[in-house]
Amino acid sequence: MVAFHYGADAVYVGVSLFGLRKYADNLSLDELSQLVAFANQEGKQVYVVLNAFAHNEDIRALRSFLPSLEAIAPHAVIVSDYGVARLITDTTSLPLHVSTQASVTHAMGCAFWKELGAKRVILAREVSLEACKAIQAEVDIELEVFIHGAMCASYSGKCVISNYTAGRDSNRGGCVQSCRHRYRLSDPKNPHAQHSTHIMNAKDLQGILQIPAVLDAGIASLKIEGRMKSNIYVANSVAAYRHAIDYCVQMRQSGQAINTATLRSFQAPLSDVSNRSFSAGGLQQRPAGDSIHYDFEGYHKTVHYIGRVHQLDRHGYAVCDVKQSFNADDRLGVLCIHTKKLAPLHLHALYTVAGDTCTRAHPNSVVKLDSHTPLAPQSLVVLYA
Amino acid sequence: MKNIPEITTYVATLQDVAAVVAAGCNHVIVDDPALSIRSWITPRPYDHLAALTTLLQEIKAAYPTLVVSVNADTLCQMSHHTLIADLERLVAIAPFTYLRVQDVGLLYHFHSRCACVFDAQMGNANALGMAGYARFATRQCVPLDLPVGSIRENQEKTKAILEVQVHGSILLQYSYRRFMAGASLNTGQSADMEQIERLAEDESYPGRRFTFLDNPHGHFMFAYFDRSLLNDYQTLLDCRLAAWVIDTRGQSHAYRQACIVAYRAIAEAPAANHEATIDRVKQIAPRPLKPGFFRVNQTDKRRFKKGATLLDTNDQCVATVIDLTKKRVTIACKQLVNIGAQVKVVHPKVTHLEMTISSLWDMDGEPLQQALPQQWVQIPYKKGLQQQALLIVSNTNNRVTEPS
Repeated sequence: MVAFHYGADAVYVGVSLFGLRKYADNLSLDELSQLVAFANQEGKQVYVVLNAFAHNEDIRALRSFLPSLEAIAPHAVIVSDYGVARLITDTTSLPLHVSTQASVTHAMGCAFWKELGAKRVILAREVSLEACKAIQAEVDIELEVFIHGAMCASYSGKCVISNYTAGRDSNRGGCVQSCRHRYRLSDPKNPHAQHSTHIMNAKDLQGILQIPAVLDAGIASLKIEGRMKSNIYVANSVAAYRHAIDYCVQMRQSGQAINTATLRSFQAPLSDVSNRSFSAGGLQQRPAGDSIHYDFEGYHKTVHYIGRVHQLDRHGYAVCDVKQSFNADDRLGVLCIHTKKLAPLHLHALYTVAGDTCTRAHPNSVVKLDSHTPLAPQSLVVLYA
Repeated sequence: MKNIPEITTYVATLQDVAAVVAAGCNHVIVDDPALSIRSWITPRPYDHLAALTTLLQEIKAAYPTLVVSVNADTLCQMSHHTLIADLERLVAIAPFTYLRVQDVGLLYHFHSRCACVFDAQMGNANALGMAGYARFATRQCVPLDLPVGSIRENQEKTKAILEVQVHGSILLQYSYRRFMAGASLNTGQSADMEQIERLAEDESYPGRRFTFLDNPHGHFMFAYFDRSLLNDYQTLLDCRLAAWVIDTRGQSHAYRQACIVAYRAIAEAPAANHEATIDRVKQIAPRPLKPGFFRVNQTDKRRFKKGATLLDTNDQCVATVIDLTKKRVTIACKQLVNIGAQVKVVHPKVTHLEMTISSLWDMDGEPLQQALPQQWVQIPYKKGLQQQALLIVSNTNNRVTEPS
């Protein structure tokens, strides 16, 4: 819902099975039904992720699950396994999108999936925008690319490190991100340790400056990664790309040149929220050393997420859940649902849910904020680091 | 009729072919660094597959009955148009039996031009998928995480012709990025012909030394042990697979030869004593030998076994506790909640707690009869409730449930 509120045209969600984010807040069928109803009302789309690589027992379970899913009528399902895809096309009328997990890098791969009936291919993150344009010229199928978020070190779907090191299936939702660990490297001809580095720790993808090229490539959809990320991450990134896309489209439609400085201004908020530094990944060229954070020492951020304004009470106080403790006189900010920009937030007072004045809010609680400027529901409150 | 699987291994030169055939190999997979992503051959300037074409012709002349595959396991980028055109020419003129591919695009493009072996490396683990790929691929190589029970099940259900890697390095990860070259060169193009091999130890889990290979195709991480089914050969024989693949690329010729001899002997005379040949392999193996997931695949099974979750499959979560005081509790509703609803409280610290929703108030303290999904409301405090506890109703009204 946060994604929709902040400008997303579509969201992709996991349900209780077959997704690659076992630990994400996956939806029950009832919740999915509510979300789809909301999306239909707003003219938006919901895609259900079934992109794990299935074994036979998964196919058996999926076969009995699909009728319930089809009854809810999400706008597409996202798959990476050919058996799952066949099951979907043979037994349902659900539109099929092919996940980046299928590692489609070429027009030939798109043709393969198109023959099965896929409506869209989410290309591997190693495919440049120039290549996307070439693919689109050869195959009449919708293309989607990742534009922001965490990057796999490997081709998605071509990694089983967790299977062998942690007993968790990387391709069925159990990835433990061993690629982000620090490795001690040595030459087999000279086994003394050479150096220690986060050799495979990919920086986060950020493609604001590539939006004009995206428009040129005819790409149907841009994907922001982050099903396991916080509300502030989702809202902040969606808002930034919404602003950037709308600006670029407006400039193109009015025949004006896209101003790079303006485009760059949309980048700044993306650094406020937790990130591993940014690179353009493979959007422009083959990702190289500058896309790896070899000396990673922690995430970068300037704000901590506190909570979401759920509603206003009869006094006009913002009722907000609290994920991170803060004091009433701390330097706070709000990502406003209307402007979709971060602004300072000053409080007159802080109250408990019972209405008692307090000076400090604790995690897993609900508070009421009396702020100088009125807060709107769905706005997100942050604490500056 | 006795099923003797093809003993299959990788070669790069005619001398390799002579050596492996002498040891008992009857199916070779020819590596060329342009097409084979982890050939371990020193990278060389692109020659439009001229050397490969010549080698295939030489092999055919010298070993006319030998089964020959061309390894083309690259994931194609749109910039590979020259490579694909050269491969089309190779398929048209060069003598070989199978084209071995990983990219479904290559499979789709070439299946009508030549017999293909589809080796997905990862994925392609279920019978429905294998049956689908069998429309395009003459053979398929089963992924290494598939246990023997699943291999048999898939073979039975699909009648697909299957191969399996019985011995050698286990690929854990394939990346388009050149992590090690990237660290030193920091270049966006992989024009450099450098090939880098390192041993890598995860500092979070020391003691395991993975092999890293970095070449113009990208970066490859291999397991700290080699897969070996030498101790499981009877089970392997019972699978009646078309080919046993031995991948000792990057290792000594002596290791390769010992493996071929051992598996050939097992394939031809299962009842004989193979202790000596198996021991020879174990003595010279560069890494520990394990069957991997061949016997059983327990990934996620222990963690997600039945009973590991606090929720029963018939449970529906109607609300979550988001604020707790001794007077009132604030809940975030996920479903409709009516006064009188009987709920179970689920939380790791709660062993058995049920309650009846006797009252409901909105966030202004006004009484309600009903709370809607997404609404925050308050209920009376009950001793034992915890922060973030789930309020559950059991599914007793034939509502849609998700399978376990």
